[in-house]
Amino acid sequence: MPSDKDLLHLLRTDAEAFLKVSQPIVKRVADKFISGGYISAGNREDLVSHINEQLLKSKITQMKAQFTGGSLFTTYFARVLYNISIRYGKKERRYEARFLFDDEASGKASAMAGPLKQVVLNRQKDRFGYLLKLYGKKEGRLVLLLKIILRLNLTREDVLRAFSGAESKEMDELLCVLGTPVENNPEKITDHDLFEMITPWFNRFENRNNTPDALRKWLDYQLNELAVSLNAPPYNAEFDKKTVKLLAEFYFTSLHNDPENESN
Amino acid sequence: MPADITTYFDSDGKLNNEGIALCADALVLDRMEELPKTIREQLEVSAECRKQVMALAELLDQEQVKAEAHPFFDRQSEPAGGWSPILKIAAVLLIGVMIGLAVYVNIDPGQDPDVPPAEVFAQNFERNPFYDSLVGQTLRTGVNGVENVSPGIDEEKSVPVTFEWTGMEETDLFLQLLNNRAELIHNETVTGSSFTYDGSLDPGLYYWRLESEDELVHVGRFVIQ
Repeated sequence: MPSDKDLLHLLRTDAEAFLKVSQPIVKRVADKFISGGYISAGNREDLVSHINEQLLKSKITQMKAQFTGGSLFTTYFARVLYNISIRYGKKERRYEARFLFDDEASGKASAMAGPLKQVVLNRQKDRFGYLLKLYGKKEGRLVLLLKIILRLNLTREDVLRAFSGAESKEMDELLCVLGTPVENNPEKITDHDLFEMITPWFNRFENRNNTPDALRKWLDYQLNELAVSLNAPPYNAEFDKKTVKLLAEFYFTSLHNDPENESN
Repeated sequence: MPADITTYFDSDGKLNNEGIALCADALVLDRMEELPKTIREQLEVSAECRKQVMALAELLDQEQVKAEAHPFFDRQSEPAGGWSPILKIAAVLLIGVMIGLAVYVNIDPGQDPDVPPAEVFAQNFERNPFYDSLVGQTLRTGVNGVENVSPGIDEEKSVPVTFEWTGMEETDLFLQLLNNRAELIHNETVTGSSFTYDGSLDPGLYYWRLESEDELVHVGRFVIQ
């Protein structure tokens, strides 16, 4: 592959050469839409032709005029290809096969699954990790709530990521309050009980006065949003709140089993 | 390099293709915290933007992205290595001449800081593309939102400024007052339907936002003349 600067130079000087050397990127984007299930494998060549047609027809000229150099050009180019592919998919798509992430597909079963399934699971896990990072300042809060609701082991680090000003004593108290009853009675502690238990601590750390229901609704809202993002092209998936939780469990468990990733 | 942050937003104040691309680069490079604050805030409030950025990031060849010198994230290191010795000497001489001139014309160091230069003054009234995209929209989902909001959009006010609304009186709302560079001026938790800010405000364009525990409720814009 040519470097980013070389590709941009070609765009500006030689449209034909640009089209030729950019084919690996065009094909990679098309393949993601095929493997994600948004466009059927039988339409792959048609999609590639459509993209090239659009590039020649207008997109190369538009990119030349509009790109100001604020990001890598290759990334900007991939974004343009993404938009073309979505429009193609909306017009041509008749493909109904969907990626289902369910109990069977979750981490517990993945060890027994074939290598292809493991690849798909890992891709979903990476996407989930990306989404968490995009929450910015709210990432820590979301991760903490997800881990609590999934009854996963919490650490001081989890609390600190959510509430950077939390003091050691308070953190230990929260971990103690959560740890003992959940570990001893994981099936008997309902989500309702959990939100009742943790809300006073969240209020203390955040200097707020929320109800347990408000905290529950906030998490519910985020789970819905995560599902919508995970179902977006190039995927044709059917995530819902339940399966997002399964994916979250798979994600956190994988991080826990791979300490090198723990800081991510 | 783009001249300013507006390069990354479209006329509706949403991240454009280049803005989405920059965020996807940041995600792959794990340099999210180096993004401009306005862009990070856009990501925090907009699920649609997060979706678009994540979708683009996974289309990229991660190794290639990591191997390239980035036009935004690596820009600060470029001048140091790129300047020739002649340019460095010229820069030192130029600075010396400017200092000499300043002494010669006896620039008054005690200029009144309350009177900003005309250019800075004008900048205080420029719109913020991100918050502009949210101004006046009914952001809260469901039936219970706020109405009869004051100050109205672009209303001219003077200090003290009273923020008022009806609806959601029983809910804790978080009121933020920001200048047109999206810098936080005041943060207040309000229970009820009004709040009065009596701190000082320079002439300029200001934004204010109401947020509940769950979501953004309202964004307004007003002017201090």
